[in-house]
This record gives sequence, structure tokens and C-alpha cells, in this order.
Amino acid sequence: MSDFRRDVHRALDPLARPVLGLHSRSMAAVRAKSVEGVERRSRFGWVAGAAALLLALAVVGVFQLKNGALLGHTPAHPRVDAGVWSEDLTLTGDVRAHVTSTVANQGPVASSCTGKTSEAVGKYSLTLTISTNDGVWQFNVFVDPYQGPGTYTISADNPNSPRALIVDPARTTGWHSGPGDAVVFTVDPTAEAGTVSATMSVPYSPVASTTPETISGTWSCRTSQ
Amino acid sequence: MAARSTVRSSELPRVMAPSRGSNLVGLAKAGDNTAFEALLEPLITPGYRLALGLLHDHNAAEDAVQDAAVRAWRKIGNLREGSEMRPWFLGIVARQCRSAQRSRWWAVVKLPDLVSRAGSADEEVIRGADLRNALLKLRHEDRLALVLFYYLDLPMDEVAAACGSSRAGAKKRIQRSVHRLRPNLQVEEGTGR
Repeated sequence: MSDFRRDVHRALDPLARPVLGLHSRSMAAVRAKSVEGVERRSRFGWVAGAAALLLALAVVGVFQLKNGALLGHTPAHPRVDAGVWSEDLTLTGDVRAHVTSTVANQGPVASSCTGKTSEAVGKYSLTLTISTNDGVWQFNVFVDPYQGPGTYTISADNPNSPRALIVDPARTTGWHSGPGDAVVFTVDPTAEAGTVSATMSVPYSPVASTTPETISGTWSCRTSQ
Repeated sequence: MAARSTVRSSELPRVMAPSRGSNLVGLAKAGDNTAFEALLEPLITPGYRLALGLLHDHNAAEDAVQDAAVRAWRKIGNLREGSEMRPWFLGIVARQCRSAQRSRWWAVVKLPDLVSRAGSADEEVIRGADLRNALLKLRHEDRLALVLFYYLDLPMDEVAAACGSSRAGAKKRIQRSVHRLRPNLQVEEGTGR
């Protein structure tokens, strides 16, 4: 490090304080703005909405007439189910639990999965909001690239996929997979269920313990098995 | 069926590093909060350090990062394919800091506090305070380039991207700014991660 670089660090470092929770506060602000945006859009009025809907229907109708058939539905957004999903997951580590279902969605704290649309997008994202004796947690698995139903484990070509993460909804503590961790994620032919076995040894924040968290069992993102 | 052999040779933060992060951008653009969160997480600390380097105030720096996060969420659709997330987000932080500075005329008044806040006559503390004062006297753009290069240790390419200038332009700006602070100092070329 050059003298000047060191001097800059020495000059500015004393101003710094711990930024614990800044990420969660920032994300909370983001979520609040997202909801605000939705509410603002909803206040825009049903007349504008109805007009837009009619226009959209007309465009779709013309498009279908031109193509002579219905097109496959490939929404860009992850699917979020209003109900609860059936799970059979066992957690060990600081959070110990056997989970049989997700919890009902509460605003931005929601379960979601990209499900059948994942193959077209090339990515699979699953978020399960679960309740344990240690509170509510969000477990996330992200697979990229995703090539369809099958088994995904970390590989030399793509050492970051699948990625597993478990955090509390406020994002103050949790664990994620890291070097040396085994993550195996399977997706069955429905693309809405499968198995998972993951070790998450990296603390998500300084307040998380260094005890690795593990999760294993079957998962689903549909209301009934 | 896509099978993958098990190898463990990575660290998760790389998931969210710029090159890998570009894979999450699509999901974030589609409204996936988790993907956006994953993209944002590794950028919070650099964003805070940049804001601190520009504003010299912890609370203001935190506010700037938080506001930048919201702005980034709103503008994620503008992030071009192949563009790196880190300089893009740091550019947003820098603009937030500039806005904050415009409404913080009192920052100049508070400068002398920095020395007394240190509470010591130690030479290093004084030198640090002098350098902070000198940095604050630079123009926003010049201070931005210096902080990115010398405090965040970013490579010149990312400094240029965050400043919205060419690589040569960023280097020239750093050179000029450094000369104002240390006339005999040469700008290093190879740095950053």
C-alpha cells in the first residue's frame, strides 16, 4: 500500500462506525417503496386500469388470431402463492426445527418460487418462509444456470450454484453456503417440488454464530402435494 | 437431467460480485426482491465507505446509502446488460452524496470539530484531520475519484465507470486531484481487486 493510500485510509477510517443492520434497513426501505409504488398504482384508479386491461385484451386477441393458437404463459415474476405450501424439512444448527409447511405470506415476507417458468428464464429461485421455535426464517435456494428438472450441486464450472441462504425476515442474522459447503438441490418434473440438502456455514452477519446451519428434506411450492 | 459434480472452491460473496451478479440482474429487474437483495448486500459496505469518504459523517453516509438502495431498486431497469453492478451502484451513492452535500452547508462549519473529535494532539491524528480537510475542499468529482481509487481501492476501470468518465479521464482527474494535495505524488497504476 502506498503512503498516500495509507494516509487516506488513516484519515477516513476513524470516521467509520459499524454499519450493522444498514443492509436490512436499506432493504426494508426498498420493500416499503415497492409497496408504496403498488399502492400508488392502485390509487391511480380503476378506470385507467380497466382501459389498460381492455387494450391489453384487444392486443392479445389480435396476437392470438394472427398466430392461431394460445401462447405459453411465461411470467417474468416469481410465482407467489397466497396459501401455504407443504414441506418436510429438518433444520439443525442454531435453528433446530422440523418444518411441515410454509407460513402465510405477510406483505413482503412471502414464499415464492419461479417454478415452471424457471427453465425458460434459465434460473430457479425458491424462497420458503418458515416458522420455528426460534422465530420466522426465510430459506432461499438460487440455481443459475437452471436447465430444467434434475439434480444440482456445486461444480467447478459454477461453484456458486446452487446457493443456499437462511435469514430472519429483518435480515439481521442468518447463514449462507460458502467454501467447503455441500449443497444439493433437486427439482422434480413438476418443477414445483424436490429435495434439498444444504450446509450453510458462513454467518450472514456478525451477530450470527459460527455454528453451521443445515437443512434437508423435501420441499414444494404448491399448496397441496 | 442436469447433474453437477460436487466441488467446493468458492466463496459466496462472489455470487454477488459484479460478473456473477449480472446473472441476478435479470431476476432483480423482474421484481425479485431476493435477487436484488443478493446484488445489493456486498455493495453496502463499499457504498458506505464511499459515502463516508465524500460526506465525512457516519449518519449522513448511512442515509445516503439507504436512499441509494431505494433509487437503485427503482432504476435497476436502467442497468444495461453486461454492465457491472458495483460501479453503477457506487455512482448512485455518489449522486446521493452530492445531493446531501448541497443541503448540508453546515458541513463546512463543522470541519474544525474533526480535530477536536479525535481528542489528541498525536501527529498522525492531526495529519489525518488535515487530509480530511483538504479532501473536503476538493470539488465533488475530484473527491469522488480519489475516494474510489485510494479508499475503496477500486481498479481504474471501475473508478471511471462510477465517475461516468473514460479510464484516461478518471486517471487524469485523480492525478490532478492528488497534485493539489501532494504535489510530488505520482498516481499508481495497478491497484484494486
